[in-house]
Amino acid sequence: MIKTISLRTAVWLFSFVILVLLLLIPMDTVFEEGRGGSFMGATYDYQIQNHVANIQSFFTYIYETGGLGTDEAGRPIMDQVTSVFLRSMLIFMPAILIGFFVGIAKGIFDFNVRKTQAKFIGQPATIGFLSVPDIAIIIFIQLMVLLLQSYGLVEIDLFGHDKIDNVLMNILYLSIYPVMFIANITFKTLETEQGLDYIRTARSKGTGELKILYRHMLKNGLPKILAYSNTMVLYTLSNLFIVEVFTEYRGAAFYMYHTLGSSTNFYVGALVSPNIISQIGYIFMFTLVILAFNIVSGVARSAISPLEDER
Amino acid sequence: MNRTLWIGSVMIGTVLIMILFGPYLPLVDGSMDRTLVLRDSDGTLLAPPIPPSDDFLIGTDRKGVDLWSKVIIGARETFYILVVIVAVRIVAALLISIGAFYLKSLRFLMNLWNSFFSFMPTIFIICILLAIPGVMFSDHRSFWVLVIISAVEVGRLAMVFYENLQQQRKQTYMEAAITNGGSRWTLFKNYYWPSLVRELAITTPMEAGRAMILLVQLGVIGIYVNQQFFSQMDRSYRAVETSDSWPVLLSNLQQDIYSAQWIPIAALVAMTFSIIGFYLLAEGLKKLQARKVRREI
Repeated sequence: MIKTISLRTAVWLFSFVILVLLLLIPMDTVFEEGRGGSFMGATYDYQIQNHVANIQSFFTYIYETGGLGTDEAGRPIMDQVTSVFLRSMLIFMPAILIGFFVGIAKGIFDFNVRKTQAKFIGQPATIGFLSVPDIAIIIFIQLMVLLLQSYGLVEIDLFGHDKIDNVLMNILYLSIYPVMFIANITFKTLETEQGLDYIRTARSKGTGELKILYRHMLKNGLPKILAYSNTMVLYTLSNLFIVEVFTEYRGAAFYMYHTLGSSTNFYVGALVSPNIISQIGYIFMFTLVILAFNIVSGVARSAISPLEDER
Repeated sequence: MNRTLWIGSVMIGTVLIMILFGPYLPLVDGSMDRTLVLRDSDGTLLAPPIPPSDDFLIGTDRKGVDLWSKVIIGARETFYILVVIVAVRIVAALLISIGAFYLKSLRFLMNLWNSFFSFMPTIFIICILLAIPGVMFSDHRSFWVLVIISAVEVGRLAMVFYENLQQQRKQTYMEAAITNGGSRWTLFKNYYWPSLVRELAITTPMEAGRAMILLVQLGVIGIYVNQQFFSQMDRSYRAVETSDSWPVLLSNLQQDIYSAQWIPIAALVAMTFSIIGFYLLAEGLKKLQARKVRREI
């Protein structure tokens, strides 16, 4: 177990260092301006010494300020990063938790109804939700809300970050994928568990069906479900990015997109001031969350089959 | 009867017809003319985007181009992008996985690559890589965007192929082949490669579906494959998408939700349709293979 944790921490450090190196690539872009400052093109040439200088100045900066320093207005960047990041976590963590609890419940439901008339709202529905892109479901929900609003039935604020509506709606959008993902895994786990000998033994001893399901099948399947949590967390973080940018929820992913945002617009002569320090702060926070889930899933995985620990 | 395979094939077949015969299909205006203003039956002026009506089956986009024509003609470009992404992914993943299967050093590299990407969500890493100025202002930006979108998922796909090869190695009849004196090349040609081909048949449509989902997600946050920078009023420059591909129809999503719902709905329906088609095709092929194996036994 200690080996799993230390190995994953080492890999995390490696990934974080690479990401920081990518973010510190020098922005030496020469703009070719036409008449009146119009954009003719831009040339970029990468010089290794500039990159090294960037890295050096970054570390001296961190060392001298003893944190992330302050922005132009004198506010500590660290506080901003944490407060914005907590705002993201406010929608991310509940979505993951809902994913686990509702997902397992849905998986059990799918398993229970798999041979009844109601099976179409069971497993096939889960698969259906997993294959449709989330954004299509999100837009469908929004259009429904707008339709209801036009009849004056509900009053929900869809865009922004400061109302409870925004938080709740974003949790809803974000939890769709985790719920369906966990439901699918739970279903598959239960399906493989059910044919096993110990279940038959328990049944022949007269243990109740519900008790078998929860005490035995689910308890044995839980490590397997946890082992997949890593994939789910990664995908949900990707979704967090899209949901925050799309609904203008000002969390860490939103700010990261807009400070990196030079991919869609820029000003001649100046690249949008690359707020690299806070970007590195966000990256640090996000990768830390991933590391935490990574360790959980790694420990769960080694609990299933200790031999697979190496990977 | 393999119903999944049938439905999947019909869905993908429909898309193929759109790609091949797009401009000649009924109700498609190949010239994609813009309608600037229109007078409706009461004599009031209508400016684009024009909602669905008799003239325009599913309305027009913000420039006044008939959306039905645009979606059908855009299929060709969308799938051109998709084919390139999937092809790059598969070829790279095949080379990496086969290399990793035989060479220890490559196996280490593959694992490292995979662990690196397992710490960064796909969209994050794409945004970070695209923001590198060398990529952003490159003359071949489209090329780099395609390479980046393909590369971020190569590791995962290589792992799938690698697992397949390992699975094949564990088969008991492989021992027989080895004791019979099969050389490395013969073993690869007669056992490992066919097993990879079986895997490919399922993985290819699966990857196409995944890549399409990624294109939808990137479209929502304003990242497209073909972008050009155009001058704005305030001396700033905005990347403007000049192509007809489907993700572009999502570019104005936030406003369209209020004022022109038919534009994003058309794009999402088209893309979701092909994604589900790809998944059903993959599922159906999986069933077909399972059935074949059973019959051979």
